[in-house]
Amino acid sequence: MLLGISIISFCVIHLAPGSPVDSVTTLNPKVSFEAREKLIAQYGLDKPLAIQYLSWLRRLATFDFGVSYSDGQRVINKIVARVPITFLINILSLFFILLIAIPIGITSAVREGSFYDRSMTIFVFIGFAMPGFWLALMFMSFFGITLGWLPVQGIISLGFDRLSLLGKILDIGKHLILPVIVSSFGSLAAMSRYMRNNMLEVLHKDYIQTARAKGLSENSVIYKHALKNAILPIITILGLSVPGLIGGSVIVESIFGIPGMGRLFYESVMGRDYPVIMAVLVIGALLTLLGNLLADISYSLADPRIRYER
Amino acid sequence: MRDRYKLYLLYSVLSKNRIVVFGGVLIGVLTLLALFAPLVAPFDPLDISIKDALLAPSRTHIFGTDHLGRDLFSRIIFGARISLSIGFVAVGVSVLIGLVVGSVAGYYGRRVDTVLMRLVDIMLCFPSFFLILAVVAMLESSIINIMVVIGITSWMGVARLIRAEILSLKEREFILASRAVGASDFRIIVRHLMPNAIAPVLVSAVLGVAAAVLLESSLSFLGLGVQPPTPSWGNILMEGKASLGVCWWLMFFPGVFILMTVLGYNLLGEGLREYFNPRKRI
Repeated sequence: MLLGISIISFCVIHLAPGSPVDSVTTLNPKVSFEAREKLIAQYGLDKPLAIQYLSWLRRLATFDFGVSYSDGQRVINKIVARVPITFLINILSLFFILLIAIPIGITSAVREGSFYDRSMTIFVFIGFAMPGFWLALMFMSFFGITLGWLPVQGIISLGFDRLSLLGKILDIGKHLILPVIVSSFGSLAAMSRYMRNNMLEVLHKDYIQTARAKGLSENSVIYKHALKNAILPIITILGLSVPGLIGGSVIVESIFGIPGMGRLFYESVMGRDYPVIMAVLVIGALLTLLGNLLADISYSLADPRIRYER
Repeated sequence: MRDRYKLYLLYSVLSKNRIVVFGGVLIGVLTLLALFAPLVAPFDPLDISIKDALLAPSRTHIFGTDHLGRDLFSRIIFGARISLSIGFVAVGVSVLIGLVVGSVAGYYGRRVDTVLMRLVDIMLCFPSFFLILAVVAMLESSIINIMVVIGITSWMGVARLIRAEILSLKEREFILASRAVGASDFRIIVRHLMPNAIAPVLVSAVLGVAAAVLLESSLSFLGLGVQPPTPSWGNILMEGKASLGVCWWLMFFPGVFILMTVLGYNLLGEGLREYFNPRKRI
């Protein structure tokens, strides 16, 4: 699996026309032909692809992704510097999604067909169709520029260093409000729809009727008996939504000027910085695998009916 | 008789789902606008006239003009042609790949199945937007490239659907029968298995158009998709970003068109899913 991931990312990047040497040399016409050849040899681009791949893979095993073509920094350092903020935004978004989607799903399932349910359905479809970057721009121009409530660029204000610890946290928080809302919007809609359908399915099960027949209160039926069963599949969906969130961070981070992994990726794509692109691709795929694994594990922990055979 | 029943079914589904009808109408209007763009558009979408730059919406320019004085409405209508055709072709590519991979994997099973499905798993691991971005940036960002790249990074769902359908179909008697009369594998797959698996594929293709339109606009917005001056909804937005907070119409209208298109296809897709759902067909 991992091998496949690395092969695909390597092929994708290397079979494409255009070389990083071009981006160095075209900017500077004085670079001679010999210097060009030397650069190519230095990066090992003159060797056959298979050899290049193997040497890349050998270094990969020790998390050595090589050196960035653009500024000569070690790739792993560059990425490590960018990961925390992306991680923070995605964790906050996941939290936010769960916090809102689950109650919406439950309440609209319970009141199936009501005005509330139908307006939520419309909201869900619009949320689903909303282009994230457009929403970001709309929010920026409304809350950021017209109303001036929230900052629209970066994650810290000028003079961040002078703030107290609490002030620093508040400052970052303020900068994160819009990005988090934008990155969670689409999944929020999907998740609440999903929760609603699960809940509906469970509510039609026999054991719910049994619970009602026992004379339990409606609240106890819904929140104790139905909810537990309806919420389980959500775990899997959460795991599956990880690649979407990571991919979405490219857009969110480049619009809001947040120095995270997505923006790093965008910059390196623009500069044809192979080592960085490959490292981010591989790490993104690894994070996805990790997300799926975590989802599987927590699913089996949460649902005693599912235990993997030893 | 059967046709009539189908019509009735369609009618009853439609009348119960006004939302779906709304989706269909949205798509219809947008498609017509795109098809007849040269007739509908009041101005040439590429016609620059600096003295008319950044005009607010008025009677002559119903959506206003951009920073080069081009009529926004005309640009959006012509952009619809680009954006919609990218959506269609990309989905065509992905359905084609998905059909081939899925049916080969499902029909031949064993090793072939394991290898192909492993490939699907691997492809699904990549945050698809990263992958697309990387490939598009490496290649020249022409319209054809974008169509193909979106297609080859989004076929996995269709492949899985087809494989599952074929797995459940291939042990049935009618397949055994056609094998007994000596039909070739190709014929069995194309003539007997695929038609039976087409419903879920149609649904996912319709939903796929929505996804592809969204992807294209995101790419163009990042400057990696359709290159100006050719208008697409994404790059109109990109160009409008410069006047964020000043000229609201430059951001607002293209976004609304993307939203409407995606909404329309999603609604239609959901409606079709309901229509094909065997459990509701009693």
